[in-house]
Amino acid sequence: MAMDPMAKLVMMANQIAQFFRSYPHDEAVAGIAHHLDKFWTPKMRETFRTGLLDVQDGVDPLVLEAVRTDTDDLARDPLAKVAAGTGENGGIVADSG
Amino acid sequence: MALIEEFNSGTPIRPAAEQVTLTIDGMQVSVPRGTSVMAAAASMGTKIPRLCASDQLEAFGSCRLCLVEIEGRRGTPASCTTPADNGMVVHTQNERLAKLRKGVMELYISDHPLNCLTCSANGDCELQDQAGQVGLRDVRYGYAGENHLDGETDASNPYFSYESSKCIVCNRCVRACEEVQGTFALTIEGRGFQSRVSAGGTNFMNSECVSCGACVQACPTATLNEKSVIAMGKPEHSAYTTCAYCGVGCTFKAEMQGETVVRMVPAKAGKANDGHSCVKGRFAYGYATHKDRMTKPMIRAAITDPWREVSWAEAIAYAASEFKRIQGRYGRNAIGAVTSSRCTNEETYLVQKLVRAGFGNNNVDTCARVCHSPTGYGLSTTLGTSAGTQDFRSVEQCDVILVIGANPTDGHPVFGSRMKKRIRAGAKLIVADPRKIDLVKSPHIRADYHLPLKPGSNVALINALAHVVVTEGLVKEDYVRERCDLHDFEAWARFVAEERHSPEAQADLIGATAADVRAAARLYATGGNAAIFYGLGVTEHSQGSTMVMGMANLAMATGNIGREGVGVNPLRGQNNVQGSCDMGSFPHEYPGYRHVHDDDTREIYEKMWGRPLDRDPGMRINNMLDEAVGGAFKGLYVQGEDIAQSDPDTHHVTSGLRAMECVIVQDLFLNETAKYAHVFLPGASFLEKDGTFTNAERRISRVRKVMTPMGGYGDWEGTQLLSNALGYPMHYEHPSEIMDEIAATTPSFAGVSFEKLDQLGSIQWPCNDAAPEGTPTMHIDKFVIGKGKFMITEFFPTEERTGPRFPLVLTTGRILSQYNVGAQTRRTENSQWHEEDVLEIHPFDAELRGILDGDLVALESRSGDIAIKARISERMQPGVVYTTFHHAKTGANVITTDYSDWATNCPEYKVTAVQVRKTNRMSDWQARFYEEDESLKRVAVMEAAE
Repeated sequence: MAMDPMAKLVMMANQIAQFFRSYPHDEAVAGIAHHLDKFWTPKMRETFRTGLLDVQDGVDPLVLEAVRTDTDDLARDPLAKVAAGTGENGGIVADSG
Repeated sequence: MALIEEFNSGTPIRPAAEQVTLTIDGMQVSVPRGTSVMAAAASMGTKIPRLCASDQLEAFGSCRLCLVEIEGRRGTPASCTTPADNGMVVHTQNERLAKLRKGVMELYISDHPLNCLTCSANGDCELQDQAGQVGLRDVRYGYAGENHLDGETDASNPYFSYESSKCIVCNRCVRACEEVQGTFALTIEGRGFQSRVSAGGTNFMNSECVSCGACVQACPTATLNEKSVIAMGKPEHSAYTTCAYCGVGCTFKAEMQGETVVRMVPAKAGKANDGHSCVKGRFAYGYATHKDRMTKPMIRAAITDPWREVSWAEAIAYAASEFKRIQGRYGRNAIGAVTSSRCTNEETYLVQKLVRAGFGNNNVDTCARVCHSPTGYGLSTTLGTSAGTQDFRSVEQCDVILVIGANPTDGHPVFGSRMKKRIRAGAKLIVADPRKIDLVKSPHIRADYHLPLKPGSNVALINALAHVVVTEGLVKEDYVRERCDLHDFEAWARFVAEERHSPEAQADLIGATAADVRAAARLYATGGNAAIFYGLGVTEHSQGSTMVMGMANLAMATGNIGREGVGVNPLRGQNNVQGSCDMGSFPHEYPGYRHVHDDDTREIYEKMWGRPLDRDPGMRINNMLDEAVGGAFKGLYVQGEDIAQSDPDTHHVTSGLRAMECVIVQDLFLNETAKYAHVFLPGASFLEKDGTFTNAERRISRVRKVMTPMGGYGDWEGTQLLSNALGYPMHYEHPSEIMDEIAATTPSFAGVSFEKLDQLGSIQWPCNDAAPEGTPTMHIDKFVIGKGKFMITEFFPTEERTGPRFPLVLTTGRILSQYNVGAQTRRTENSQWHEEDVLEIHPFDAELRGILDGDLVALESRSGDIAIKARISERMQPGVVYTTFHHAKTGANVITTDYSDWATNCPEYKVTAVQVRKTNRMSDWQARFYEEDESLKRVAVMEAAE
């Protein structure tokens, strides 16, 4: 049941937006943008950006905003670590996916 | 190398606040209060004769051999049942005691075969040892009296036999089944002289026995004995190693004759298993030397060609030239690799290193993608580590156990037994699962609450539980205020407090009554130490990561993280799935879960590996397959995984593999993925290499080589050969050097070395200057992340919807006797318990379709269809069907879809809309499977030399 690549990316991006939508608007946009930056390959991001030039129907508005915004200019990501430093036992800060 | 003999104190020695001091045979000894006289004597090196005692069992006091004299006390009490006390003066040897013991032994031997020389336990028999120890030279009663010497032998179990003629009715087997395994399959039938061990009135194979081997291990004679020992005789040396099956990571003694395994014996020294085992680890090791093992490298230009056996040099040269050609033609990102959760830490580290430094990209992924990747995402986001919070032993301190989407008695049986022991001792149990798994109701176990979830409703449930905690004032406010981020907590608390999350509002969607959900939440929040244990029923959903965060939220809100007996505990599927994640197998992070974006970390590896590294995340498995179908991804190195069987939407997976120009499979067998491969490199089993595995409790344990690799090289050596041929040099002489590199570059492994592992037995990471011997319990006093982070977990139903065409929900899982894709267990006698996958269906759904038990049915989804036998089962709820995926020919993943977790793309194996109807034919896919099982696995016959 192979899916059109752009359709698949739209579905994935919308799922991500669905999670972050619970947060205030700017944080949600930041969360989506950072997620795409951290987990999507450059080619996926490029394909998605290019695809959005043709197709925007069905794409979550938060996603559209996240893709258009420079990650350096974003508000606090809901996933951002709040406290500096690590626990006494740790020595690591994890970001597994 | 000698045979490892483990110390046995006869009865358990448990820690206690108070020590008592007594005198035994003139020597003073101090032991924890509660220790028996027998164990106190053993602790100072005095072995009091015994037959019914073993330190894995509670004292029983039946054999009357361990009698002692205690000054000031009458008679000769049994030392096993007499607690040591201050000032006690004990004599273990004198003429009177010797006479009594000899008399007891005479009675035993008068009803025992005297064929010691030909007995399978000759030289390994406690009865024989005790006869020698008491100096038995003759039996005054003779052998002509009534006896059991003609007792029958039950050889129904494929791995061990029960020779009743040799049974001394010491009860050790019965007690082991009850106390250690918790199955209660064995009993003593009859009274007095007629007393015999019985598997519930039938033979072992037809009984409730789960073949864990605890009874065999407990037996002091040859009554219950491994068939391998009967056939081969005693082992002559042994080595500690770690099981290659599930994420419990049991320590075993591989007992050997030369390079042949005689038996695998669970080690008491193993901190994950404390001397217990399951049918897989204990007995199902025969795959390692199965005739299907492929031991020669092979290559072919096209998958339709027959395989051609070649030398390692030729295979490696061909593989390297193909990968170079592909990168030259299609670009650096056209190749990638999949690491294995069945290989060692050192091997997975090496594969990801090859990808990052040798391939020059980050296209590496691992099978955790399809099982516990949401665990990594969810726990690291909320708590700061991509791993469980406790050790297994912690369950002994639990007051409330919440099991969600896991079936420990089947999937993690040794831990399941430990959990059941705690439940029998009084811990409360909540089970949230669509099926009535064994924990819901089995002998001496009954869940206080079974929440029969509708598949896909996990997040609604966790929000409803949290709603009760918040709205009924059950939040541990001091804990939250001190340990957690209050901004996030307040946002979360407002969210879950909304009435729409109440159990009453969500009951229909969840499938459990509001009253039960409320009661379960209250119990979890107020019942004392409460721990969550979860499995793939949590992670393999489109909201898998959300659910993991939801569980962490609940645990933080109730103060249930950061000490023994609590926590959020993923039950990892494969033996080294934790380790493969730790070792940087994901495309976006280096070992120790550090993102490839991180400049400091990248600099560490660029310096160590001597190559510039890519700062962008690479492709996940599903991305690689998508790109392959699209024509941009052309080469894949798969070590020890079988993505063609295990990954969802088989049609899509095989389309991707077919589209590649060079697939390298390194495996024990020509598996399903190898059908689409061009290079086959023989893999090495866990018995054939050194290394480490890391289990679900972050415990790093040694794997020790006990036989020469059948294919010539350990898997790490194969990777090294490939790397060298690709022009990226690797020159490790031993896996310990790889671990040294891991320790030098990964903060959480900084203190780990093979030398320290040999000293300590095992180590739970983090192991560094702050915790030189490891960290059994995480997040004590402070979360690794700093402040615990509550996340908002809105529920969304999956896009995979039932409807008129596909009205049922299929959920998939595992059973006890088989393991994942079955490559190992299908090649053992374990298949006697599960020779094929079946579809469990509720009687109502079956009747509606005219389906009888055993009927062949067509199982159809939007992805494809297969034929499978139906098994009518009231364990299912109406509307939900269930199957396993242990047999390739079943094609369970032909049915599953490519819907996946929003954060990690972990497939949604647990929810597929299906229809079931009677059929009389296999599906087209299955017909093609059988045809391709021949055509794509042909090996060219070598011509004989002139």
